[in-house]
Amino acid sequence: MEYILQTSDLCKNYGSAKILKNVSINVPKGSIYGFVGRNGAGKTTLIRVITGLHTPSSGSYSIFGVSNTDPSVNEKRAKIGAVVETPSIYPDLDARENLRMVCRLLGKPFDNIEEILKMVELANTGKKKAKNFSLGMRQRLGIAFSLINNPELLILDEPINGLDPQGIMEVRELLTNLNQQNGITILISSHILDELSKLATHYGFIDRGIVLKEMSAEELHRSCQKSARITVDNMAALEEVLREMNLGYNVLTGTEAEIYGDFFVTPLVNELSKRDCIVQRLSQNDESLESFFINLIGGGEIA
Amino acid sequence: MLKLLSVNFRRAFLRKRFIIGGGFPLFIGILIVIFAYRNGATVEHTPFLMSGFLPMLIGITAGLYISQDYTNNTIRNKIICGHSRISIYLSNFITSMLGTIIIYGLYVLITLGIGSIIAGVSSDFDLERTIKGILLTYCILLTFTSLTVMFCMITSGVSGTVISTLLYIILGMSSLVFVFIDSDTIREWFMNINPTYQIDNVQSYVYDSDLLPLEDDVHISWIPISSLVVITLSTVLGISVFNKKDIK
Repeated sequence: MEYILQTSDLCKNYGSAKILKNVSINVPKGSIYGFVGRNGAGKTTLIRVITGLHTPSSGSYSIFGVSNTDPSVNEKRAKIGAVVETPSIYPDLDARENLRMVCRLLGKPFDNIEEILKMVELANTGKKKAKNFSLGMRQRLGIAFSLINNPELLILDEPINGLDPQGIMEVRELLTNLNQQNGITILISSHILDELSKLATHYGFIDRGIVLKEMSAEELHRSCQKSARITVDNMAALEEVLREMNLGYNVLTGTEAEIYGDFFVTPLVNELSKRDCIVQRLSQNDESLESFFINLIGGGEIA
Repeated sequence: MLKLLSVNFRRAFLRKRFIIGGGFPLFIGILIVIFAYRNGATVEHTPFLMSGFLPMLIGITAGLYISQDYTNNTIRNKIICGHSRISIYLSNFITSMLGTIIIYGLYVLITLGIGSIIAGVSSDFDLERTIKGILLTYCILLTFTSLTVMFCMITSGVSGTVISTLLYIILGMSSLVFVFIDSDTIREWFMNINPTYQIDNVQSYVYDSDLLPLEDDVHISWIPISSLVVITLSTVLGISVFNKKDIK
């Protein structure tokens, strides 16, 4: 697997406070990497380090295969678009002038400004100054900034914070399009886990500066779908069928049992039917991303 | 670097604050010329009347310009885009230096250039001495600008602007150390390298007056050298601190 961004034992200390402790993450090319953690877990600090705003205390990271200690890393940064916390906009300028400023910074022509403004739905803002934009508009303008240079990696720190449901949906659609149509790899940090689960293809879980686990969405899905609960009128028949089908189970009551692992429902129901066993109820016990994360960090509330 | 300068110049010279900051000495210059004309005074010393005020004005103008980059967080864009921190520092340095050159240049143009046509100069006007005085004032103002850039780039906020604005006074008050140090050699050295006192020295030199006698132990020839040293040291120090600085 090709990785666009990798960190290796990355540490960041502020005085005696250790914010990042030997953080190692791997962001695969073409993925939407959800970086999950509570407030203060170290998500923003890691993003600040990766984007060059902060220097690591120890450890290293590589962008597009180039180490942070290599002087040419700045050239690679030009292939990154990022919105760190609040969007960095010029408040006295309108959306177009803001994007022109970024074009000048990058030495790019103004060709694709209109296209990007349409993409982030800010084309109709006219001469309205950015300081008068709503939070959602500012967030979208920040994303527009990061798109000017046709980035290969987009880093977004809590991009849906403070947005209304409509704004969240717009940002989600935008990011999905960017990933699927433009092939942009996206690293997105958030503590709004349900929203992240609608986007991410890979996850990194961080708590108190330590990366607890990295996994793909499929792996997470498998981990979250732990069991199915079944209610029948003949428990003996059910146990017999489950044994025959090599499925793990746990009898809860005389009529209820939990079945573990992946299985097809129809063959199970057919087999039970042959033994005159009626399935009264079958439900899947989905563990939400939130409860998975809470279990991972060993309890506590997500901020 | 050119990309950064392009953004800086656009931000600086087309923005309200910078125009107001730069326009203020022009306004004062015009008032001085009108005052001189109405009172029958000559204008040969007018380029130096504002010498003590200009460092504060530069501190405010350049300080606000740089700190705005931090308060708007737009400095992040420069780093994220892949510009090196040295380039970012130097681009702000060049922009501020150019701003200072333009601000004082326009002030001199108004007071001495236009003023000499409208109000005239005295018969003993010494052009060579005046030009030398202007160039020395430039050296001092550029020193203040370099210190302003350093303070603003390493403090990353309004505190840098406040320090820069008060720098002229702070350096002036630093002579209080001689309450504790009783050494003529150190005092002489201090007076020669301190930009605040250098302004007084230039005025003494230009006015050539008994009111502001040029002391024997004060050497205006020190000004270009000490300016060069302070500008170089402050820039090297500023860059090295900014290079390691965490940008919020």
